[in-house]
Amino acid sequence: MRTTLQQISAAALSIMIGLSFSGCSNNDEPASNNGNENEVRFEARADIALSETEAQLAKQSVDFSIRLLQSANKTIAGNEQIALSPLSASMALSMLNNGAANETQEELMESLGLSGFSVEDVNAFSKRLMLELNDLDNTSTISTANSVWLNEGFTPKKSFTGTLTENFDAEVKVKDFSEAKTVDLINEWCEEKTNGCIQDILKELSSEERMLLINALYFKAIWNSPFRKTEEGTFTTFQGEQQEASFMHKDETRFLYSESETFEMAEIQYGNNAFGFTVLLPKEGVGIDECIERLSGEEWLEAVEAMKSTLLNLKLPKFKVGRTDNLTNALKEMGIVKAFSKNADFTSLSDEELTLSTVLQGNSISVDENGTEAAAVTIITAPTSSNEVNPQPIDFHADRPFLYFIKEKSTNVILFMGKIGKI
Amino acid sequence: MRKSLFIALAVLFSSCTNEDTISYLLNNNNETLQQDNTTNQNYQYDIYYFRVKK
Repeated sequence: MRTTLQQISAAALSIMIGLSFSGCSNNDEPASNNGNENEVRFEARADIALSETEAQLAKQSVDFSIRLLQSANKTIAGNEQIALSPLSASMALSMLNNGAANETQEELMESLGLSGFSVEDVNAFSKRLMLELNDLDNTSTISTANSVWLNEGFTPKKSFTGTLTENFDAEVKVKDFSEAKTVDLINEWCEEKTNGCIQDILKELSSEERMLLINALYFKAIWNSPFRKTEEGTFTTFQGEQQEASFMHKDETRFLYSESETFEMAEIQYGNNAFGFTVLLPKEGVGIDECIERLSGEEWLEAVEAMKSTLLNLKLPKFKVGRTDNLTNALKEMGIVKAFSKNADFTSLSDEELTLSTVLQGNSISVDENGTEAAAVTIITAPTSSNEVNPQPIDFHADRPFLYFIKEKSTNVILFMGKIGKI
Repeated sequence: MRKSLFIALAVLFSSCTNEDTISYLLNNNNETLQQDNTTNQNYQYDIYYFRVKK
């Protein structure tokens, strides 16, 4: 009993000391303070409170994300690495949805998994996400930007541009697509909206294009507990080749973790835990493509909801993926066919007979550790759960192909996801 | 320091049952709360091109 009390006292003292420095407060102080640029205060996380309809929309967005991953894995060339943003894709498709009519719109709604919801519900949900995602974590940055570029002479319906401005905060710009400087202007817009990360997305622009719809998403975050150890190791690629890689690792540390018949899942949390980097590691003997094919939104959600604080020996390779893909075939694979055809109906967008010609998605993700200079503030000793006496840590070594998902905690909306089949 | 301790006590009794707080602390097992420059930076863009039907 005395030992238990001592443990509780020690744990409480650790928590008190930790909180005095971790700053789980609701004040408006900036992340860096106390004159020490390396010290970060995490402000307490808050859920995005969803209505019943919004909760269903969020659930459907997970299902859409997994289907997008499956379609991209089938259709994108060089799929040993995939990097996608389902949030961005669904937001762009939702904008597009406002210009579609009749069967073209029905097909879009069905592909998004949104049959049964109104376009207004979808618009309102997108608006809430755009507004609230950026306020969840004082140490993370999320920027979402939308724009519509109209070729001079092309007149969209005011109801379409008005809806995009109102619900998606979209900027509407009219430019001459035959002028070279229009390409520069679009590139400058993207660069500005992504903190300088996206440069030169367009090399040229055909005057045949009547309109461009552009969505940009930027996310930057810090781990809530930095990796302090990195070691060289071997990553076995999807083709079975051995590849040298740098692995960040933490031993005997608690992470959220669950397992299913075919995969294990662990989450490394960012900042104040509002966002997490979830690693889905197929079990030994299960191929990454087989795992993707068998995965469903429901199974993914079950695995996420089953995750519990577990002692792990975790290894994750540092990696960086940057690629631009033509998503046209992936979207067609998902059932969005009419929008790309002569039968496209965009009469809610314009009186001109329009069709969607191409969809490009560019994506860059970098997961690494850049600096090591840090002075100790305090040390926290985690309390031990009453039913775990000397638990044995589970090895979670992402040294073979895995999937990653960057998601928001309260809605499970997936911002970014990808497949790492090689480093 | 006294102020920090007072705030810590107040926060402890008001939010110690908060799952995230506990989770946060659990995830900082044997780590200092000092952050280094470990960052994760991601960006993405979608471009939809529209043409007149031919």
